[in-house]
Amino acid sequence: MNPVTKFLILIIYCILLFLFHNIFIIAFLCFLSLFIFYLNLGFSEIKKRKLILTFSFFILIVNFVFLKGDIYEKLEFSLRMVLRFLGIVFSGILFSKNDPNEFAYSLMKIGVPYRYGFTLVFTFRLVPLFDFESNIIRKAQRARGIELEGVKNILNFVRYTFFPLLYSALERVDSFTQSMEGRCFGIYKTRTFYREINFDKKDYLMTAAIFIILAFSIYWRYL
Amino acid sequence: MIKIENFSYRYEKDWVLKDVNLEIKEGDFVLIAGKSGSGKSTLALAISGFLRGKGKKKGNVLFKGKNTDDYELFDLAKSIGVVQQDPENQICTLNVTDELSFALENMCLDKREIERRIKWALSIVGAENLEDRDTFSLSGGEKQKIAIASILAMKPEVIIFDEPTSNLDPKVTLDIFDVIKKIRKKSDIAVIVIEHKWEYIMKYVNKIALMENGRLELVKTLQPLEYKKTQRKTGKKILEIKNLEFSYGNRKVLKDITFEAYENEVIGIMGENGTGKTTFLMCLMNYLDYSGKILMNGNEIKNKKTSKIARAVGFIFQNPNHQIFESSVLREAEFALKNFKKQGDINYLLKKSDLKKYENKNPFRLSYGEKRRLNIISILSYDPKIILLDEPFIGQDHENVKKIMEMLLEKNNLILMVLHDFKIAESYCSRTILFEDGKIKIAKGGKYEPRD
Repeated sequence: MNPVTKFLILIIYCILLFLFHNIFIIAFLCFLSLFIFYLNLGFSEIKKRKLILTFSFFILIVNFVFLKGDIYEKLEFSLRMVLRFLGIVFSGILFSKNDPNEFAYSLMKIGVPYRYGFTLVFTFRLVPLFDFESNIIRKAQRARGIELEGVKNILNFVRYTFFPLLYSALERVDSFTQSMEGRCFGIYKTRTFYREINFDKKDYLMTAAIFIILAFSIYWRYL
Repeated sequence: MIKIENFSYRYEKDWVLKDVNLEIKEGDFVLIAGKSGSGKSTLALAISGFLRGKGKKKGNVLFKGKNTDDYELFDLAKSIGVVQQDPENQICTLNVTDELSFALENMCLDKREIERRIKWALSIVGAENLEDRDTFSLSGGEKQKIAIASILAMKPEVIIFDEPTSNLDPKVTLDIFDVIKKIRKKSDIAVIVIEHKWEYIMKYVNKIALMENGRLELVKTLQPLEYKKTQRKTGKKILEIKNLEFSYGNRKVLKDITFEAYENEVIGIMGENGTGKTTFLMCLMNYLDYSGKILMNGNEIKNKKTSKIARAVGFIFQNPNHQIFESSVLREAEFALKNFKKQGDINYLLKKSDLKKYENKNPFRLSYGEKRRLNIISILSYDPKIILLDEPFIGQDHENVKKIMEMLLEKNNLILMVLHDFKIAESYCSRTILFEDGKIKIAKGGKYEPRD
């Protein structure tokens, strides 16, 4: 399936999670997300997300303790929160496993102007670089005697990381601009796309199906 | 094809290019040599049309008889390609095939033509095996090949290589020079190479231009650059490493490393990229969870915090920008000294490094070479007994290397540095460690050949 179709499904799935109030429907949607996650990535990938599971338990407790009302109302409300949270997080993680590049090129294929499409490609290009650089900068700070301890040092850490990172980013943007202009980026309104991106029958069917589900749900909920 | 006539240029107050004259004909192979800051890169920008709208100009840069500023930038870009210093800043997509087709797609060529050109460009740079790979997973040399191929695929009439090998080890450097030679041979593209590592490529070019202080002079040949051989008398043992090992996940990067080092030694760490050199230095700073023993002055460092070890061990990273934290040169120079609450003579170091005049300037606005010297004095200020340097000489010219070495050798210390330059190693190193797949071989002096 094309990543754009998957993205559409993700968005509509999240809308559905908030559209319904009935706890059983929300629970069904949440388990659906977990089930698809399990089918695609296996149980070990769910187990790796212990932090998310712990955090959702925390949401449950906090909501339960601080809410007013009778015990069933409180329980239902907090459960709804947690199920929505888990549904969004796991479907989001599942979507992030897609090739970001294919997603960006697919968006351009369906008519998103290529300048915006490449902003996305460019972001994906820069994120690992930033990650790599902030790691080195952090090491360089320790080599000059700054250790991340206490409130004062956290502030220092932010300050001493921000400026080297900013400067390095400015230099990079300069060369990237030269690199793109030097290769005729933006010369015409359109461009050819060498990479094959396919929207097949399955994509059209899924898109149609998900919109029918959305329309049906809205009808059911409000009319 | 290209004619530069009495061209002068300045960004701000000082003229960066002064009365430059140069003619480049079809099929020329030109080397432009010179120190950093001599105007080489500015000249490349002038030829490729990237100086428009900025600074002040005198004279002309003509391409096919027409001033380069009168061309649309895109039209000029189709004819004059530039390969930049760091491929990391040139590659702007996530996949090799996308990168190679990037320019061609922008030029709206049809798919079959794009396919043909990609195949052709890949075969010239010898990277057919990289098609469709993820750009992030490529090695430095592979990245540079892809950056070159993506320019080559545009079939320009001139390609300018702006220090294309400064981030590469000697073996890969020769690979890239071979690619450049092949481009010259297999096509009628004129090639301009800007390099300060010109010794290998000099034999193959038909024009040599030497730049000095913004002036350009055509020369027959260049004098090899030499360093003064400097060796110090070794003192007591201060570093002892026993059975050091380290793995990233399942991959063993360091394998059973054992060796000792003494005060006043300068030890060169050489080997291809990806053989564990940087990882080795990182262990000495306790950045990584190694196994085995590292003793400094007889004390195991395993349970010490990096910020504590740093009081006695200075670390210089590859890129000067990543280790500048303060807002003025003076404050940056005293940064480590203040963190360690030690005393030191900053004024002397600022003078020694020629940075005294910039005392109140923002350190990020210094030149690349000046930033490197600032990094060096920032650690020399508290006189660490061990100094670790990870490829400190990348992008640094001969003069700056000499100056940096002179400052480093002034005090009694042990210096371990990762480097690629054999001349520097031969002149300054008492021993050299060669890394091969995580294992080491030790040799006296700086004697390892790039290709044998």
